[in-house]
Amino acid sequence: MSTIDAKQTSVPESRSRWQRYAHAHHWRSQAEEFDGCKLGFWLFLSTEVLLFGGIFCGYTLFRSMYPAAWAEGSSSLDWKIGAFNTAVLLISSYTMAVSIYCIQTGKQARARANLAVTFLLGASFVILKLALEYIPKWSGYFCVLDPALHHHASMIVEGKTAFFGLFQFVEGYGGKRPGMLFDYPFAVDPRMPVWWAIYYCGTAIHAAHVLIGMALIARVWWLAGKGTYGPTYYAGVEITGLYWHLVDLIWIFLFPLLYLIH
Amino acid sequence: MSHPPSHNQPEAFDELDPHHSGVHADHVIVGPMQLRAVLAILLVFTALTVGFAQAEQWASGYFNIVMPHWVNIAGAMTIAVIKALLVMAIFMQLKYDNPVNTLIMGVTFAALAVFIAFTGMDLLNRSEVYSWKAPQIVAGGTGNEVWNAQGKPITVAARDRYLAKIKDRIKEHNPSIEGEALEKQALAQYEIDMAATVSHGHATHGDQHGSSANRSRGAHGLSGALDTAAREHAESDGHEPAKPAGGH
Repeated sequence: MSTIDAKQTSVPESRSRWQRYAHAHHWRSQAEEFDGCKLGFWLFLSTEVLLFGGIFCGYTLFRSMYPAAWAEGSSSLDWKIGAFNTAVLLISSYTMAVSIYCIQTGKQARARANLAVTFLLGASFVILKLALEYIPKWSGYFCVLDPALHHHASMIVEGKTAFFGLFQFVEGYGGKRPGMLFDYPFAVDPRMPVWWAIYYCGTAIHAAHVLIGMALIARVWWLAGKGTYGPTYYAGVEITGLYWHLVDLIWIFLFPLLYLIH
Repeated sequence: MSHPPSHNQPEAFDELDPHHSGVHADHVIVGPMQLRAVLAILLVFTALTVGFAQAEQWASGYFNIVMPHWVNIAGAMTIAVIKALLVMAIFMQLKYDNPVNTLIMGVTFAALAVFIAFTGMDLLNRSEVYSWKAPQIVAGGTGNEVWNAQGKPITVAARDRYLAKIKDRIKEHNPSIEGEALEKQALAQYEIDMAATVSHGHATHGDQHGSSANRSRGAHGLSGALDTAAREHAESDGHEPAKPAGGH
């Protein structure tokens, strides 16, 4: 019997995938592989910070150039939606961190439950953003469940609905779009389209990150179900967690800049 | 002289650690109590930052106490930085991690600060250096030939489209109305619609349009020449788009 055969037979098939995991041959140990993996991911996250940095830079400069446009634009955002979505993302960051703790301590079922909750919180963030913010501001169609709809009762166009009657058209509310797509009739400051460009750029790139993060979470949830992760091997969950926390980190700055500071 | 091998004693083969360097001995487990505490602090700080912004408007609206503009920004940004540091230190485990990862993030934020500062040094001072170039910039920001704007600033074009819609509606009810009377009635309806739409902007619960918080600062931006040029242009109702003064 050769040495290789002996090694293969020493690993019983009944053991989980994480127990059978062996690091790649070019690393000295699994710990080193894990650290290298994390270092690479932090480098990637630094490029992400710089990606959003461009938007923050644009925000800062246009804001100091056109403060009246910023005050006007910011006043048409509802801080209540922003604050609620902030809480949703913060709680999802917590459940993500808890799922890593559960994997580290061998509680795979609880880890998967926490991953599922994180996924659902991410989904609710995107749905709220679409239904309560993007769609009304872009098109003028208000969700009938939106508590702010009654403010615009006098401007509702009867019979003009969309999406199986779930959205109701409010005259004069939509058209808040960037640049040449702008069609909002009540703008006071001529620079308001610049504000909407920054708003959509910042929040939509952030929302795209939420969607990517949700796909990554779905992936590790599925792999965790196959016993891929455990106390000695959980790099995939850790990396997904780092990505998800970055999404949270960006929103921590976007929220006050867009919704709170006028 | 050769170095002695680090492991003199041969041990049983461990497929998880074939080089006997210790598996995950240095990886810290952040417990649920600590995570819960951090979440609670983050949520409290979120409430705090919202409360701070509301308090500024409340003080301004009810007591006419106008706080300096920077207080609003400094307060919100301080809270955001504290929240971000907490997320990075505990949720992202930088506190327990290899310091190189912290260094990477530190250098990135420093680079971002340089990026914003240098762009600002250019853009915010451009009006002083190139004030003669100011008329080239058209209010609305995208140039003269904008789709659907007929050479007007975008916001003025949007308003005019809405006015045309109102006029059509008035004419439907009263086909004989024309000229100044139609113009007057359309503008009156525009004001009514505007009040119905804008006064419920969430930061505004008074008679004025826009935010109440911006009372604490002048309406003009830091780029005085650009701003003045655009304002004059907008006030002239945008029928004459600004001509480029030179260049190109």
